[in-house]
Amino acid sequence: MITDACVYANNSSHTTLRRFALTAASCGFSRIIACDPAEDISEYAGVSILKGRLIGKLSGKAFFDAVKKTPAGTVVFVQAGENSFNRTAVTTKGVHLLTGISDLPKGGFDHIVSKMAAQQNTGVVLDFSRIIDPKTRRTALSRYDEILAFQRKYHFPLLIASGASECLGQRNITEIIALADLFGMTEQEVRSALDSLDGILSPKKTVEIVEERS
Amino acid sequence: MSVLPPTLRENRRYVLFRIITPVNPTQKEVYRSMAESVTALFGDAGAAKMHPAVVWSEGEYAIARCTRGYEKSLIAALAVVTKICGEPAAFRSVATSGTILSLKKKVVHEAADDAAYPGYLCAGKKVNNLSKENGHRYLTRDDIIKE
Repeated sequence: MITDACVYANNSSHTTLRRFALTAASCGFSRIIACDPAEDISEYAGVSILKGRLIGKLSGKAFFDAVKKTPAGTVVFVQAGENSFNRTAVTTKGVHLLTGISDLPKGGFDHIVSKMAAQQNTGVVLDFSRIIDPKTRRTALSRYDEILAFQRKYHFPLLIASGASECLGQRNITEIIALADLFGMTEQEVRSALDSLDGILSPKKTVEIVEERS
Repeated sequence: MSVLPPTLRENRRYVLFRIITPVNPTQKEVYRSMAESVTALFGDAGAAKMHPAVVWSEGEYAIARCTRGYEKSLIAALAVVTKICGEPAAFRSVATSGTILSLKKKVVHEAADDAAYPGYLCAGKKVNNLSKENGHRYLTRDDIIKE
């Protein structure tokens, strides 16, 4: 399923969750993750809506408690912080995605975090609203270029999010491919990133029972 | 300067895009927004190679022109437009083609209430049956019925 990994349909947004879903459908998406949504809707206009929870930079026990208290079926995002925090976040059971990479200082996301993310099957979110915003564009393009180099080497799951807080912030797939081309991401990589959420939410088991014999 | 023969002319590509904004911008205003984002993204040198122009605009649709091979760059530039005439906006690329005619055939004029899931822009007094607490500007018919 083609997924927009994050839209912010909370109380401060001027767009309703239904309108986000409607716009996503017209943009060619079949699923969106609504981060801390104000409404509880599971599907609209043929687009399935998953609930997401964003956990900020918390220290020690507070972070683990926040992950534990998240209800089942919710996609857990963690806001990236210092290098040591990112390593903890990526290896914590129950964390699905690491976001906010573009705000990190240089070296905030290194090869060790990449390796850990690949081992734990934790996704890294590329927020395209950072590219659209002219203030954060340069930093975002440079960080995403670095992350892409790590992804090509360590093969951790990469996800694409519009990061929109209004429906005007959502982009269609052609536009996403064109924007991703700015930092060297190929069309094939974009398409696999848009489709990689299923692999994170239900990862392949090492051993799978195909048929049980009595 | 005399007109170049067809074989020496540069090949061009056209991009149809939809303008989503509460205002009704003129072709010149659409061009200004597009040119600004092309320059911001690729610089003056990139813009000079791309030759961006708005060749047609009607209602919420417009057609932009660029040199062949720069369509992707033009779409990226259109995708980063966030404002027009000081109002929030989005330019949504619909299709790319070698002729204006084929793009004009792809323009769909939507009637306000015919679509199964119409999206409303609730600004000012367009929709007046919402409660005062509802601060949403962008909603759907179902959101209004719910209230």
